Amino acid sequence: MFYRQSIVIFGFVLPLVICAAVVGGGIALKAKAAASFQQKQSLYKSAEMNRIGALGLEAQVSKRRPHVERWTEQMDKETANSITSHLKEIGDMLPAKEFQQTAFERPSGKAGFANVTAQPSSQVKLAFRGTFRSVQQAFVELETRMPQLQLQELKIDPSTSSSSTLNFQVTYTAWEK
Amino acid sequence: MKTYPSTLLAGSALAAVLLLSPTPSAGQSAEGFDTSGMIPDAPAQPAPAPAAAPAPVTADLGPSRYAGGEIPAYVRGLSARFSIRKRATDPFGRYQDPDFKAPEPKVLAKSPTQRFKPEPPVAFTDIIASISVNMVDPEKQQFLIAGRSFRKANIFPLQLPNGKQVKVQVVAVTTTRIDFRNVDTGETASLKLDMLPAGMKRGTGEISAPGIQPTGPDAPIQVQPSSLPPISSNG
Repeated sequence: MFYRQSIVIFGFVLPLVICAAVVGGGIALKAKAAASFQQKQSLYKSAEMNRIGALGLEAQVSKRRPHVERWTEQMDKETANSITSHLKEIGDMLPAKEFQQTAFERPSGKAGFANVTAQPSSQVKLAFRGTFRSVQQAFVELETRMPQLQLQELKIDPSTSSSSTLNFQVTYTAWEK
Repeated sequence: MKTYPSTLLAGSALAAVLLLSPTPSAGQSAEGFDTSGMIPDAPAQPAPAPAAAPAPVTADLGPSRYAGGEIPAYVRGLSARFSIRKRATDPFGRYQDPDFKAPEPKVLAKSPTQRFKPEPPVAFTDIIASISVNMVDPEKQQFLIAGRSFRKANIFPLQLPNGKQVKVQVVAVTTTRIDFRNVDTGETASLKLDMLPAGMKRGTGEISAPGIQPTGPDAPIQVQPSSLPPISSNG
């Protein structure tokens, strides 16, 4: 019966207390580690998303850089001269019977969207006489070559002098620098 | 005595270790992360810009401002879609071929009834017959038409109702007729002046009183058969 108390204390109570402390500490450590892990994972995810987004933007920007250069180059040119030279080239490609330019005006003032924007712009009014197919082709050519042109108004009416031609009257807003 | 605690301690420590590691030990390494939801399908190759590459005709060409240096190809691709290429006429019904000529309208057979018929020429004799002479002076070879005097060899124009003019020349003037000639064609026609008012009859040539004979030696003796009514209303 000697050492009974000691045996109880050191043989049972103390190991149990130590075990409980160890288990409690382990649980606390685990919960902390899990929370930290979750936080780091979410941070990593968002960082990764941002990185990918930045890569996409960079790719997009680098891809459009030549376009921007071309647009800037277009904007640097004088609108009227540019349109005239492009129309001459386009007219050379199309049959003369089917495409004729009949007027070129530069109305003063602004219209449409140009009224409410600070971007400098000017208006260009063109008139053509020709067949539908040729003038449509000419419009595609002109608007592809000059992306700064914005269609303002387009009027088409059948010509009275010819059985196959139409009269076109188109007004563009040309954005400028 | 020492064995108990050490055994218990070893058991407790083992239990604690087991409790501490419910998840696999590899949980802290990067390999354990589930990153499948984080990486897009093709992050390194962002969606190709629509018009950056020389797009085939059928692909989406995108806005023309991105046509870049491929403008001819872009225009070709875009214009290949225009429905006007397959159509003969535009939305206004105009033929796209500038040399197109509309089919000729069907010509109807010449109908026998012409709307505008040339007026049949009026005979010169009829023209002359329609002149109304007011007075004739055979001695001076002249006559009056509505107060205007004409004489032999005079040339004057006649205006017809259809606007034509006929130039006539007076050839001869007698008591019974006036001869005219068409200057242009050479036709001749006479205007007879033997028209008498209703009820009147032409005499025998000379005016004579009943019962009186001409005195000339060779003059015929005038007789008046009973069948003929007397010229004078007195008889």
